[in-house]
Amino acid sequence: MKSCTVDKLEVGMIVSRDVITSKGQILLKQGIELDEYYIKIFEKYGIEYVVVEDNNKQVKHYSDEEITKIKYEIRQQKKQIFQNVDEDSFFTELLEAVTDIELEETLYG
Amino acid sequence: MDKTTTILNNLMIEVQKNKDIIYISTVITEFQQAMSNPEVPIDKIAGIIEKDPGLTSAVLKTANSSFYGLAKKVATVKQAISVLGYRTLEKIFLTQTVSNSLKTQDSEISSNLWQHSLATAIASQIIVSIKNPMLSEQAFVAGLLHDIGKFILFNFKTSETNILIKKLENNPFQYSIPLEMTVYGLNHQEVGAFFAQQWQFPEVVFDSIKYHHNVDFASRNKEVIASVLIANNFIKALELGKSSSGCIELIPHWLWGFLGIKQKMIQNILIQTKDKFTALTAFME
Repeated sequence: MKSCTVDKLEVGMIVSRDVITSKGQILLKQGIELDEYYIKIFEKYGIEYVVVEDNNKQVKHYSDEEITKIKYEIRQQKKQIFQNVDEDSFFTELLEAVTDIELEETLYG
Repeated sequence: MDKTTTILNNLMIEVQKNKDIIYISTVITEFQQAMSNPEVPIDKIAGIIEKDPGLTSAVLKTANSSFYGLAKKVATVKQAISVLGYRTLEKIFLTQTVSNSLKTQDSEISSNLWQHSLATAIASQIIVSIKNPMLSEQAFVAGLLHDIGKFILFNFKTSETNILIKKLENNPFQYSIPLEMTVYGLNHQEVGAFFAQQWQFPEVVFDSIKYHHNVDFASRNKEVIASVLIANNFIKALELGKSSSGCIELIPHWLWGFLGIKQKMIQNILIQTKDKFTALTAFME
């Protein structure tokens, strides 16, 4: 995956994350291939950037067991950043969120 | 004269010898003075920017990019000001000036700090907009400049900074403020606030620089300061860039409700920040 400003979008790119306006309206769902019409709509709605598939990266396929192991290792590494604070629900959520984001990045680029 | 004031005055003498900093601080001061006076004509503000071809090009290029979504392209700085408005112009101006100044310093620590600052700016803007979108531009600028004190210490107190780096290599997860007091004799909030005052940064930026680790001591601009405080911690968790200390600090519990942040929003804030950071850094290159 890579994040592009709208002026760098090209016809044929595949959207990796739903494109959402500042008011929360979904303009385009993930998985759709871009054409000129969609790019013009993004410009019209003032969309700043779109996350698309990165065709330069090879996507490796992982088993569930491998994913669990990778996620565990990421969480253990991230936990160090939180070592000076007490666990509370917000910090627990923050730790899980950054773990998931890094996991997605590791698995899908 | 107390020890802190002596160190700050000596630091100012050193900083003022650096021609890049002199230029940047002169331009920023002139720009801020013009922007704070409603009587100053647009021509004068445009003139400040036009003195620097690089800055002119950056303002026009940024104004005309799809990043700002303008329906009609602009050809002059004066047109850019009329279309973008002063708040957005200030954001472009400070982003370009500060990033050029931080990025040109030939050190990995400064480059990492710039990335951290930019990411914090983006996150601060997203966070404050949950309850008060009117403050979004202010939060961006405050986030961008919150660690300006560190930049000054890293570049003008190099032997002390080398000691700081060594101590952090031994334990990367120490809080920066007590470590800075030991190594420099003062901390980055004090240094940043001193220079922000000298350079006449907007009051909200001054307050964010001074209180982004201790918002309870602030008497005004608490929404923006709190946004920067939380953004700073989110960016450390995401590990976008690096700001000397890598550890999360205790966030006063009342801040979450004060800013309208619910737990289920956290992942979305982080994803938006990361995506926007990736796009913006690619765009700025």
